[in-house]
Amino acid sequence: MKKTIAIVGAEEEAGMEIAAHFSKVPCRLLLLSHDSCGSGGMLKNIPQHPAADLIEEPCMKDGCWESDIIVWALPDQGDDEAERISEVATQKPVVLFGGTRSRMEDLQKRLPYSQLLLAAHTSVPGEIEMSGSCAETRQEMAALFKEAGYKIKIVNP
Amino acid sequence: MFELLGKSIGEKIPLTGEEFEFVKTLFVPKKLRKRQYLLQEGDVCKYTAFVEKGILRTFTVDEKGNEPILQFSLEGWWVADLYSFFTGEVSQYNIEALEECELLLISRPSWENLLEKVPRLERYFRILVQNNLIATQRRLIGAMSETAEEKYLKLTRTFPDCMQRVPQHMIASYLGITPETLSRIRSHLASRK
Repeated sequence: MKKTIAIVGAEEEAGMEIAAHFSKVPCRLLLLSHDSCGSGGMLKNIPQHPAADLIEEPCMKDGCWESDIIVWALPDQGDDEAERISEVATQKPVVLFGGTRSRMEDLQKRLPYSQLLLAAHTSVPGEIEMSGSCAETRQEMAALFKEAGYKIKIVNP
Repeated sequence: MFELLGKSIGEKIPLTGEEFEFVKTLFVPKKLRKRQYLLQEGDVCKYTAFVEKGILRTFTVDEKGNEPILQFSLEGWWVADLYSFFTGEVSQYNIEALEECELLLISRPSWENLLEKVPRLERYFRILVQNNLIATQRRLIGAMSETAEEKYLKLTRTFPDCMQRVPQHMIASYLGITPETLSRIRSHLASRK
């Protein structure tokens, strides 16, 4: 069954990159703007003929509520947004894309019952390091990112 | 978001505010759009779901492409393929949202954790299983011994809300009759009023 993946900050540079990659994966891809009112026009950044079902969702909270997995493409911002989605992100994997370990720890405080992971680029083009405390979720997310075309290096916490 | 779950538990066992706050941390809040699936045949049922809003149907697909419906699940009900949930084997069932739904999902590890930390919930789940067993037996006996009209009348009495919200061909499928037979029964009952 197709997973529903929400990309928070899909209009940002990191968000556009991850959306382009995940458009190759058979999934339901919800594009959520950093601005909860939705900036619109995010679909134009995605390659034509994607494998994913692409949906632009104007409400960040509703999008995260609908999702199975949340990709947080706001490496250095979004504390207020995190608190707003906290109650609908319980027990869900939340992948901080492009941030730092301390940023992930910050985000974990705002999403205390979510399973936080960090996906960060390495010096090797197309490779990302994946870390997070739950081994099963880490493996599952690593497999998903691999399917989206990334080379994966798993880092133990 | 957790109103009905709190009510459902509270009707069967007492739970402190602190315990319920813990319960809430183990569930995955999930919205489904109309016609989206919670479970598809061939997948393992990884979650059991509590329905806070909406209605779902559990069905199989036979070799002729018919979709016999086993169950409708409304607000305040739990829905899952328990065999698949507990054994980890793939499911033979599909569970589809007939309306936009708001669900609370709990995985097997979280469920075990829940029962370990709040053992009183064993009683809550035991009552649910007991009620489900009784309902299943009644449905089985009804399927074997009641006429189509009796089955229809029982359904309208037991789940009046369901009749308003579910398409007639699905009601017919649940009753194990054709839509034409259902239409005849409805006309017959209307003419008697």
